[in-house]
Amino acid sequence: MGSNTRLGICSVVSVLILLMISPTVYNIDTMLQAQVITDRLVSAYWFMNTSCVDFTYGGHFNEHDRFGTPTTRAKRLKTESKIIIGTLDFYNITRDPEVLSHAIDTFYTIESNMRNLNHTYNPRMAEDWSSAIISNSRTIDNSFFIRALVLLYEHTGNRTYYQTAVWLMSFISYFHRNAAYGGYHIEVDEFGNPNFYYYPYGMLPGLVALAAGSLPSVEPRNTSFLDELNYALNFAYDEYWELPRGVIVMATHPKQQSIKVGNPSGFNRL
Amino acid sequence: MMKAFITGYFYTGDILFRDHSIEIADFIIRHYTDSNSGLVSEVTQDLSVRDSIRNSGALANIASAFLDMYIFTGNYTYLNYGWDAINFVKQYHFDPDHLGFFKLCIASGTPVNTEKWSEFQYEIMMTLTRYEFGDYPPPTTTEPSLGFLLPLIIIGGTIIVVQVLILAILLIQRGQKSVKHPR
Repeated sequence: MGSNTRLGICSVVSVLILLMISPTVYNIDTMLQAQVITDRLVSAYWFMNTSCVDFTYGGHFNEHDRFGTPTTRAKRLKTESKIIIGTLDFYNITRDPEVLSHAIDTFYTIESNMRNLNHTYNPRMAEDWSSAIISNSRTIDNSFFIRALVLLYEHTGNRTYYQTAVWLMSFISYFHRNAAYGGYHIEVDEFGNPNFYYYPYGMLPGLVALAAGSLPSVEPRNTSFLDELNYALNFAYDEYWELPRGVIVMATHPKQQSIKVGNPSGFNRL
Repeated sequence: MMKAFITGYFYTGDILFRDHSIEIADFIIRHYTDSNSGLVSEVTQDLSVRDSIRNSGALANIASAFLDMYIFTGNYTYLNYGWDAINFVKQYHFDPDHLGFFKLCIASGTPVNTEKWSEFQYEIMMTLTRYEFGDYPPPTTTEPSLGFLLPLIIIGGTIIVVQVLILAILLIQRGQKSVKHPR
């Protein structure tokens, strides 16, 4: 066999080998990239479920320093709700039953410590859950909790979560809506009376719309949630959008100016 | 708000909601970018950029909303802005030495302080999951990453090395023949 023939055969064999191993090389690269992403997700998850956890009294802290030491210690409904949603996102990928049970445990922590006499939830509690720092029902916190409840129902099939979400959505519709001027009150007390101290945020109707939008995914036939969605978005469009300034986050919009008592720092935007 | 309006369009089919979400998205792209072309979290009342600060929770939220915008409008511009935002968070807000993501970074990627918020971890996780595990195309405008080039570099390098080895073997064999059978 001549040297040229040998060179040709060797070249063909080497190209074939390379063709065979190239998918493996590509897969390794993809795996490495996926590993980086997974590292980020795992890091965020473990931060939420180790550093943030209050192992003494239960629940989660919200604000921390670099090492995970809490810098504020109050418990918040919004934080707990977001932790449920984030944990269930992680469960979507891992399908680890322990991750799901962490989300469920967080729900029971809320249920046993934050529920008030009016069957809504206190948005902020003392570290040891002994007293409510804010006992009024808040639109923002309730909206996030509704989304967490819908996700819990979707993952477990337990209808209690869904019924609680519907109850909270109805509470927002009946008591958080500003009947006189439109839109939503930031908070109402346990008897449904609004607290006028705060200026209404532009993001309130947006958050209510997202909460109302999460419910039809469970029961498409129930159109009452779509009515709430329509109401919230139409109000946001009419009152919180103003060119060239854009979306107004905290507004002294003319319709409500006469009834507000607070001391706003001015206009802000998100 | 952008996410709320595009969600509203999804459930009601109301064109007003879709158009308004596009209006907000274009507004964000026009006003919420600094000289580094990155999305910033806040602008002042006169729409000037304040401090070029990047808030990880806000960026993750915007990226998630831009993904919705892409899904419902098919406009790649939104997807690319979304990828840019979440990639910034993934790269710079991440704390490689400890768990979790920082709350605030400046444009260069340096954390403003060591603050971390639990609820922002959720925003980041949700968006990262959607981008990285959903069936969405990668960004079209950014440069290909080294990870993308890695297989080509390995394959090209291997071909060159193999060919050089074969040539070297053949040359050695020729040299041996010439020693064994001198003319």
